[in-house]
Amino acid sequence: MSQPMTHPQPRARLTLLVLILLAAGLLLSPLASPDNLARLPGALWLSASASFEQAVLHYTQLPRLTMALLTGAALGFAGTLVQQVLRNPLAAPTTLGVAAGSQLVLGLVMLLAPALLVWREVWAMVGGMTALILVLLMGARRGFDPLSLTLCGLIVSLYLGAINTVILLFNQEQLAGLFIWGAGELSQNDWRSALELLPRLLAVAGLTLLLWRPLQALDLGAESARSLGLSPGITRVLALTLAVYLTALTVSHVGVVGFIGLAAPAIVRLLGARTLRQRLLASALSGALLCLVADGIAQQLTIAFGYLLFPTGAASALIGGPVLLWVLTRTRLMPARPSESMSVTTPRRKSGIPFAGMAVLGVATLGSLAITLNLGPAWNGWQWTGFSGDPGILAMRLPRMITALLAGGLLAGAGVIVQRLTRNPMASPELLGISTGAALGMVVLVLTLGISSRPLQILAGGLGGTVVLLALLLLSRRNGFSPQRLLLGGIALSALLDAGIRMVLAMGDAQSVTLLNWLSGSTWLSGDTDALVLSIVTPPLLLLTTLSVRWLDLLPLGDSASQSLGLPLAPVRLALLLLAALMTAAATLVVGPLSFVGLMAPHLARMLGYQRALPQLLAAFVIGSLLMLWADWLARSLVYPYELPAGLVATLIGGGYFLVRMMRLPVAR
Amino acid sequence: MFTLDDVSYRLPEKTLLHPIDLTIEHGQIVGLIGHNGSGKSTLLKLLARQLKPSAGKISLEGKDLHRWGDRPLARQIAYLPQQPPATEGLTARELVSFGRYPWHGALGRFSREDREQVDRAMALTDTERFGDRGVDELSGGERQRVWLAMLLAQNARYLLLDEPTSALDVAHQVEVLSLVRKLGKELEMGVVVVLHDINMAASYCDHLVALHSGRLLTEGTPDELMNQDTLKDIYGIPMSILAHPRQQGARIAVV
Repeated sequence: MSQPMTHPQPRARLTLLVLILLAAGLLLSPLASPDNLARLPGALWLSASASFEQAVLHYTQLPRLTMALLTGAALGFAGTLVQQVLRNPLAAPTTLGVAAGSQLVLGLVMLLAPALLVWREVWAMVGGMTALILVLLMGARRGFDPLSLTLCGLIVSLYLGAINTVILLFNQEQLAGLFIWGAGELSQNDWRSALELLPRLLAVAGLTLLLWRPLQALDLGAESARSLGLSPGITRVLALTLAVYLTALTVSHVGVVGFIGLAAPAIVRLLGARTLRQRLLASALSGALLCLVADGIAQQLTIAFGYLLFPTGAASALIGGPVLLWVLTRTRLMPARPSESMSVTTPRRKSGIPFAGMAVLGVATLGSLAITLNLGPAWNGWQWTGFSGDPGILAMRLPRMITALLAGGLLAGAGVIVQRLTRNPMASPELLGISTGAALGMVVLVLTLGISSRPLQILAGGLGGTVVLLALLLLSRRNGFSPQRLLLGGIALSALLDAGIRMVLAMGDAQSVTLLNWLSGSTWLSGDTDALVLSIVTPPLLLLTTLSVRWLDLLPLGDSASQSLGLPLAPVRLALLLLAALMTAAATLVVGPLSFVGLMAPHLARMLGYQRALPQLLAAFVIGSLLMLWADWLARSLVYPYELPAGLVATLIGGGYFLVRMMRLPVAR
Repeated sequence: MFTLDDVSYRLPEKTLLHPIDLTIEHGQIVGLIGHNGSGKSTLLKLLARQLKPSAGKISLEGKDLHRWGDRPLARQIAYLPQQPPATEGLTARELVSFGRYPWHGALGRFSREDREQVDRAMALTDTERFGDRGVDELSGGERQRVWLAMLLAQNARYLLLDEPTSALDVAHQVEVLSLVRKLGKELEMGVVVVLHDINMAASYCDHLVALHSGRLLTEGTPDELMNQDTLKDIYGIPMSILAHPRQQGARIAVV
């Protein structure tokens, strides 16, 4: 992270920031209305003669204010701890999957054994710790390089989020509140949460004080710290545990309030706080105030929108997202070590054409087509339709199958492009924010205009995706569309838009479930139109991609090498990005924003021995199609007569595969 | 022929290369020497058009470097970055054949001539033996030779090498530099190579260009530069010059 060159008065700047935030937060809070201000003195210490309004103030507004401050402080503190341990300006409890893990386990407990919710902090802690361990295990394979770690965190978050969605879909009634809570809701009706949170926070701060010196030595890097006689491993584990505990605390009390753990440390650092102590204190303070401002915004919006609930977590994303983007433009990222291999798969290199792989793929394709077309559960048990069978059933299945096949193929193709373009095997078209943008476009359309026609939806989705793509291009233009910028910008945008979607869903009504279905990648809406559109769009896109294979071959060699071979980097990257975006958008519009097919198919292709761009592309295309086809089949067969969204099934398969795969890799030096 | 006319390179906070005039002839081996941060790599990257000069003009064969098309330029200049990137899953032969991109482009056919050039490049660098092996499996010296082969397959007239020996032991340094010299002479290429070791530079280069703090300090034949005063100016510490015990007329510098 580049430190600004000169900062004569970090203290003055910090004070200024604190004052601005404090003023904004207080002004935004409903407490600041003249009526409430007049009641305030009596409400602080409730006496027997207090009015009803004063009691309301005492039991709702004041604890809410306190909770906002405490939550923000905890998150800011946790953010700095995580960043110090992982030496990574993009690390935060939310980006590392901790919040998602806590949320999932809490949701499960809420559903399966509500009585056990008494120990909700423990459950949140278990979930958060598990998620973090997963992410770190994956990250270790890549030497904890910041970008990869963030990507791993995002993958785990999305994966856990997908499981969460499945649970939600099947238990709408019981878990309706989980929507809102998942978006971070600070409403209080007594002081209990605040009183529980405060001593725990102070205890963590005290423990951190004990760890302070070893933590500071981590600035020197693990080797040097070890040579000073410290054990960096234990220090790291302890500090991370504290950070997870803080996050779990906030999640169990108010749900997921994202971005503050990321934004507060970043702001503090940019303002010139250098030493660990300065950063910890300042980021706790600015985190608290940021959360106060976010909560103020949320409450004002809630009032403005006629008491539709507007969760604080969503508002914090509105503040934190732009901050994250700003940090990205100011940060000079350390590139991954150039000698580092981009390997995720352990390539089994054989000479000549991998005939075995081709045979496997061929058989798999034919078999899959036959089975998914013909076999399916019906009212009287499993049925093999046969080719002479009921044309009605075939007419129902065929468009879906074509849609699934082509969408999967497109995502896989986009995956190959994005992974080669960014030289990062953990990149995936879904993480570029384009799909999330398309999703947001459609969500907004459906919620504003009510139920709408398919063409309108596609238009809105296309528009959303385009806007995101333009934003992404603007963000990375100055660096000649450098891969790191693209990825980070994409991550930031996805996170921001995702928060937007959550927010819209939390505010919405009955339609949110329909939307949630589409958001998790449902193919059951796809009729002949979708199949037709994709059949028209896919061949030219695939052709264009095959024409660019030489670029795709050279790009992994790195910027200098490919440039000195005569590759005009900026235009090539722009062209490839546009191509990948088009492919992603086309697929997203019909199967929803998430599937991991774009992440997984390129890897599987490599594992089968297709290393060069063209074979990898073609194999990935076939594999992606098959994955989606089977996901669709499973989605409609598993819980017959109900249906699961196919994208969700693909996510569960794909994400699971990916996690297992990452665990098995040898650890990087 | 490269001509540098008042070329400089600045970052917002720092000047990496002060205005410099230099001519690099075709057909000789030029060594860039200097202390760490003296601007050697910056100069090489400017020549390779990896960086754009902040001021001044670089021309290649009389034409402004920035008016060359990407692929035409790549047919003139082949550049090896300081740390060759990872090449996961590529065989040596595949890597070498990437060197033909400037000739066949994005869509052109990989012709017989392309194949012959790849064969020739691999023969010259003696890398045919591991054509089918993964580049990542090779030893440091072998890998460096494969990269050289890729540069040769490019069939360029200039080779720009940024510390090609920095990661190699002495035996491999000698192996790579003799190869570079042999190729430069046989194929009449212009070679510009950044080297840390003054003795290696003196024994393998025809001409040395010494930089200090981003300025051109001096240039000349190894003979002209190998004396105590010049070396002290270049590296900032006193060095002694001895006669090479076995090579007639050669001199070596010791600290």
